Amino acid sequence: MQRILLVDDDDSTRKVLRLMLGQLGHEVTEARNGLEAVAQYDLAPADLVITDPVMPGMDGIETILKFKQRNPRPKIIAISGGGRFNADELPAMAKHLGAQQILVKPLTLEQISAAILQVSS
Amino acid sequence: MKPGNPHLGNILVVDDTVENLRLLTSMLTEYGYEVRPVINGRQALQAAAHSAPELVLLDINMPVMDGYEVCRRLKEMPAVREVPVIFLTALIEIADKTKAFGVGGVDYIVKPFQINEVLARVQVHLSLRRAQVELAGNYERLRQLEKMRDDLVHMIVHDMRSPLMVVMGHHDLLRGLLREHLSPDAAASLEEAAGGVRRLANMANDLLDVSKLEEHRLTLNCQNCGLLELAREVVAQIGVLDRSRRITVVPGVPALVSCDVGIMRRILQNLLDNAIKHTPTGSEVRVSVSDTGGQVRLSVADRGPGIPLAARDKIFDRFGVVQARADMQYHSVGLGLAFSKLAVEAHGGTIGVEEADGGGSVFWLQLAGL
Repeated sequence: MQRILLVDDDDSTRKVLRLMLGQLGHEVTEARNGLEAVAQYDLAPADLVITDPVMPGMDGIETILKFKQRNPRPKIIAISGGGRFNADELPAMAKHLGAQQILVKPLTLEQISAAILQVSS
Repeated sequence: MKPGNPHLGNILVVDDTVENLRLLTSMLTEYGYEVRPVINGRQALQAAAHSAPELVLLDINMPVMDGYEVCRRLKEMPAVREVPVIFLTALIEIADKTKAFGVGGVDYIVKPFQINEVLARVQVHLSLRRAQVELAGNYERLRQLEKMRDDLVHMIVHDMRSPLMVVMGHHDLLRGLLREHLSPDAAASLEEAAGGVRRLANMANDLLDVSKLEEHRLTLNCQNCGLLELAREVVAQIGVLDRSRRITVVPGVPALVSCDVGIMRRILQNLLDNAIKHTPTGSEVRVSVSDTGGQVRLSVADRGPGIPLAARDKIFDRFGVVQARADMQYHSVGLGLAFSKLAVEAHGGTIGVEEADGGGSVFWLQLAGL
């Protein structure tokens, strides 16, 4: 069981991911954007952060940088897809900044489970 | 002098002989051109910098800065570079003519000039220039339209990812929750739906990646991978979703290659989806691998109607439409094969299709073995 902070601005995506992570036996806290995510993290640090790298406001990249200030080796999975269409380069940037796994929507339970396993081991 | 008509043409006339300048100016103005006469190279450059003419009549033999030098400098000005320059020369030596073209002139007129010749050459080069400008404008507009269309397609496809995630995720959850409670028919329906979502997701990925591959913007994340094992994995996944055709992986060598596993998986999915689509229910699709002389080859043989020889190249085009032999039906091949070709080529490999023994097609890809 991992304590996972799930960050996505799309309500229905966040909901399905929360259910999927719950099914896999993890404890999930949600945030709708980078600001909320950092506030949540300060309240109770998570073992793992799953974030969309492209979000309005403080976007995923900036969010990752904030987490790195708090924890030099944060465990981060970036799930990209949706939103701005010119965001092709962001997943690569997220990886460069330290997201260990970059996944692309849509995802199956098996793919999410494999990514979490890889990041946590 | 009548006022010049800007629609007819704006001409810069450069000549240090006042008599010539006056003659050309009055003649061209008479015919409705807008004329700016100047008497030396320095003034010519100033006038051109102030506003670009549509054509320049330029005397070669001038003191301080001759016509060749003026022309060279005009060609260095971005706004003037494409403006046609016609030289005026009393010199008729071959070397001078060649030099006039060498520095960027489009034509020359020998002095003493005849009015009709000057007018004819001016008209020809103005209309050529205008056709050029129009062509360049149309090309640019088309390019922008194409880019807008591509951007729109990208935006739509990209935006499909989140709803696809919602459908695929909830489907996965439902499958887990209902496993014990569904009738075989209901379970089969659920699997059919999963297959559809997977194909939709692959289409979205193919579409986005075809553009990236065409522009060489897709970064491959290569690692060692056995194609036989990968083929078994993909076949197992598809086999669960579609039991209407037998898919057999012929036992063989591991067929080790260096590839982007995610991309290679999608290539195999595309080849298999394509084979299944064209193979009659109950028939077999065969996947085999071989490793000869350092070349690894993977083949997918279907029992479809086959592909006419003439269509075998077109089938790898984006949205190519192919008329199959036996059923004479048109089949749209969508993007899957276009993606597969570009992706295999990005790996330094080749892809193709040939006729299978006993009917049907064999799609094959070949990569350097490890």
